[in-house]
Amino acid sequence: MWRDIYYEIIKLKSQKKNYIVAIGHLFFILLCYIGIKTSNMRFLERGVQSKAELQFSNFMDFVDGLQFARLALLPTFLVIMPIFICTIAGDAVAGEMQDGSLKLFAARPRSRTRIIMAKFWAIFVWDIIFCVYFATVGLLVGIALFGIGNVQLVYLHGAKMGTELVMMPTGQAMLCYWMTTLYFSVSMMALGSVTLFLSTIFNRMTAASVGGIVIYFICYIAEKLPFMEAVRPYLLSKVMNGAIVFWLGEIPLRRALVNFSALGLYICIFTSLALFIFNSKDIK
Amino acid sequence: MTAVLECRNLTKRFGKRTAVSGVSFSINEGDILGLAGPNGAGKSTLLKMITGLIWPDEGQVLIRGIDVHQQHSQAMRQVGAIIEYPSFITDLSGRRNLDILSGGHGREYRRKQDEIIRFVELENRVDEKVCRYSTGMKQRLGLALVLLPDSQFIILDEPTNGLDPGGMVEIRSLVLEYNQRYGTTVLITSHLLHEMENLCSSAAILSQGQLVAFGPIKELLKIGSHIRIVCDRPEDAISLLSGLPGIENNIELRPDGSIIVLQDSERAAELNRELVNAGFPVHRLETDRQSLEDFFMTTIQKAEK
Repeated sequence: MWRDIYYEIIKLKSQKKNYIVAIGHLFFILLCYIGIKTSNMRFLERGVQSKAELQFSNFMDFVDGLQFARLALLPTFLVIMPIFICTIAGDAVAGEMQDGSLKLFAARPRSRTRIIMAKFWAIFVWDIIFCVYFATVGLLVGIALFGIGNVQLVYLHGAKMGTELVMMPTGQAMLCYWMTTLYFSVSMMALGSVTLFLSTIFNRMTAASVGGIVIYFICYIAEKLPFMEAVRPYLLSKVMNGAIVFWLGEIPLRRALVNFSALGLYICIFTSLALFIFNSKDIK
Repeated sequence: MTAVLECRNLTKRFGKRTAVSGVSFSINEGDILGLAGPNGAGKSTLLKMITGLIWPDEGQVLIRGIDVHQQHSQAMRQVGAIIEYPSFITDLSGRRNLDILSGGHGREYRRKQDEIIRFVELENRVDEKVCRYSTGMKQRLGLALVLLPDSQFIILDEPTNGLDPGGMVEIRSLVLEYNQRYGTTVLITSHLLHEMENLCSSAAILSQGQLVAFGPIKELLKIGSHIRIVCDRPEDAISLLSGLPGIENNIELRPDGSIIVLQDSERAAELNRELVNAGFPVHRLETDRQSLEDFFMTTIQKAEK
């Protein structure tokens, strides 16, 4: 099994889309830098007005490497990474079916369950590598451009991010940053499992990948609708983006538990479905 | 003789269309079986069922007595197969493809891999990316793949497809040499029937999903082979020869006065001796052994009727 996972990782490593995504992320980092420099972070004024004790003359004083990395990390994990995970999970079975290499692979003494599980774990490892890569690159570029301060200005309120400002020691913020990265790398596998399942249904990589992306963004849009109160906590995108809990003064354990349980359920259900479909599928 | 592969009443339907219907045959240890049939006859579907890629609607595939669809991993141990075109991971080297796709590992595997790479003459290019390979090199890499890690039974689906005549001869010699050297059992499909005739010991012909002929090539080609004799007093000669065992209903007089005996060339000397001993001067004696291509065409035409 270990060897199969290793070989799957080698296959993932050989794909050119890795380089395209890495370059795309660097371009995004560059855009973030230009954006921050030109906006002077004035959008933070909204948060300051609601908390009288925090008065700043220049918000740029609070922009350091970690602040920059945090600002760049969230869109990366909300948009770039889900699309990336959908392309690699969509390619896993359907892509190999399409190019014919799955026939060579599956005609060998390997059980189909082993093939899918090796692909699942390889995607997971690749997902963690990329999440850590994105977080590290953002942080390193941020530190190189802005240095690092002693305190962090965190933009959150209660269980929501983006309404108030809170001061946090850099050490604590750094821990939250890496916890967020870790959470996202696990949560991406929920979407990875959904797309892997689609990959076993479709015989075309594009269909599987687009299917995964569409499901994610439909959930993302649905969670923004005001009448989705009851289903919102269980929507795929909401569960995936639940890393916000790590930035709160007191981590809401119930919410964290719901998030992790829902993630686990998504992963188990869709990986089991992928196994079932692939085991009964004709590989033409 | 041990049956390496045994197909029992294999049937596969795609919707309303029956791609393969009630196919049963077996291959013995060390045999080279050629599977022929027109396009759409069900050859690839049959091979996919044999390798466990497709689930049959009815029937069973046993490799060394193990059901391929119930115990795939155990049954496919020591089986190498390429179905349709050998599609490799083009961004990886040939050697890496062999590792990943064959699943082989360890010191013994490395030794065998080097030996096979030398055997298919890819030693100078095996560490290059597959996207730089020619069609012939990909076919040779495919052959290396089916032989690894330790295949005793190999399945090749049109291994000479897309190759120039030199490449075809090369692949054919490699398969034959490997079979003779290691006693490997081979199941091969091809549209090139003269290739198959030179390479295979047995043949199976599929038409419209059904097995219409199966057996050793020598035996199959006897069907329709004949001996043509030109001699004096042909009517009397026919009366004489009709008394010989196996000839009675297989002899006829043609309008040009020649005698046609529907027998394989092996009996030509015997017939000549009988006629000469009985005082019939034999002016001409020809044997006409049909080729696999003739046999294929006749069989397919009969099946389609």
